Amino acid sequence: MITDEIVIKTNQLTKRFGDFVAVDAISFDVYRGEIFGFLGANGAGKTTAMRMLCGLSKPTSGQATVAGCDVYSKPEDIKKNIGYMSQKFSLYEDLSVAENIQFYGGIYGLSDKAIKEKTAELLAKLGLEKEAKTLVSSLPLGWKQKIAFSVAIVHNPRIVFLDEPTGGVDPGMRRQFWDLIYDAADKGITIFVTTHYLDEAEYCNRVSIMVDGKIEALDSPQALRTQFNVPTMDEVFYKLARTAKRSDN
Amino acid sequence: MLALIRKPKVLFLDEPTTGVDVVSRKEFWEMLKRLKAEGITIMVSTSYMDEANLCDRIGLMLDGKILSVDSPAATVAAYPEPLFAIKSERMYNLLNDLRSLPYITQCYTFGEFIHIAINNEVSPETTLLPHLHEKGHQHLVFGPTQPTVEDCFIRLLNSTNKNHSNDN
Repeated sequence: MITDEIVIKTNQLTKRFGDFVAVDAISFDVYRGEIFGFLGANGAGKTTAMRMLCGLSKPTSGQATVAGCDVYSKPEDIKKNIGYMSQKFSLYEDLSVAENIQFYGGIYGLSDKAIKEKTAELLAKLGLEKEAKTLVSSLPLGWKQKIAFSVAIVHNPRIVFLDEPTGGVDPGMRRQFWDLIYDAADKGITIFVTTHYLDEAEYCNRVSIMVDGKIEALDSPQALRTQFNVPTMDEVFYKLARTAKRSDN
Repeated sequence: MLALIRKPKVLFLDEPTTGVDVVSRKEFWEMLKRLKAEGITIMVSTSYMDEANLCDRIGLMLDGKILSVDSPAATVAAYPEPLFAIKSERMYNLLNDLRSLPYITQCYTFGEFIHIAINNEVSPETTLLPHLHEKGHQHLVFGPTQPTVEDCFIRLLNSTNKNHSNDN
């Protein structure tokens, strides 16, 4: 459910590491309730940009506000208003499913009563009541990622940042994961997501494609396919990203 | 490249391209093609179904069992019912509306479309489309579509999950 309220605003946002310009003057707005796909080749600068928006890395220049908070002066306020999950790290493997929910509930400042209610609610929603006491390390990746997403929005944040949440997940589980995304967006949570599965780009309201630190395209998937005159997002991406000079390999 | 230092007969690759972008994946698979031409057997696991299409044969595995082994073409040809692609302006609502219909046997997002399989006794033109119009869906795009390896895999997953729930 997209509204016209802006929740992320960037203007010429830039991050340099010495001579290397990781993020090169990117400007865009994201609206409340929008599913915004943040695409780019490996090494294009997506993770660096995301770290700035999450209040984890100070920009070199340019402006950005996230959930109404300035990234320079209010990074701690940003953290209270967002959720974050990534493919590389999401849950504590040596805690059980219920313990992970309780732990993150505590981190995000929920009351004991709210944590108890949320734990029961999430386990029921994910159909994992029987697995509540199972260690996360013994669960399949697709289940872990669904739990991780639910935990990332346990405090009902305004925005959730998802860094390759479905990497390595099978086609069936990826769709179950996207059901959770649609549901959260429908409730007004803004979704900011990166992926290398370009069928998932189609599930976004709008998509940006980063090449060598710059945003080279930004529009709805349909408009991008028309603009580049190709039938799939795969080919849109390929046309733009093959011109990239840098990679992280 | 390090896996090739001592020219092997068989190369085992466990999700080599997870987290890798489209351009680099294409280059990686070009390399595999060259190795195959040199006579090296390659056993590769992947969660990208476009890569499955590039294999000579694919095995679909779930819960420790191999559900099918065949060429991509034969896997796709074995898809048992007509498959359709549909889209409207409100995709999430359309997905939920389709899922509530008992005669829809498969229903999942597929890029810009939703793929559905329909019970053979039901005519989409006289039953499904009027129902969706009634639900307020406008600018519906609907038509038959060719199943892909991804459709076959999802179908197998779904039918296996259904058997699971019967067990419980």
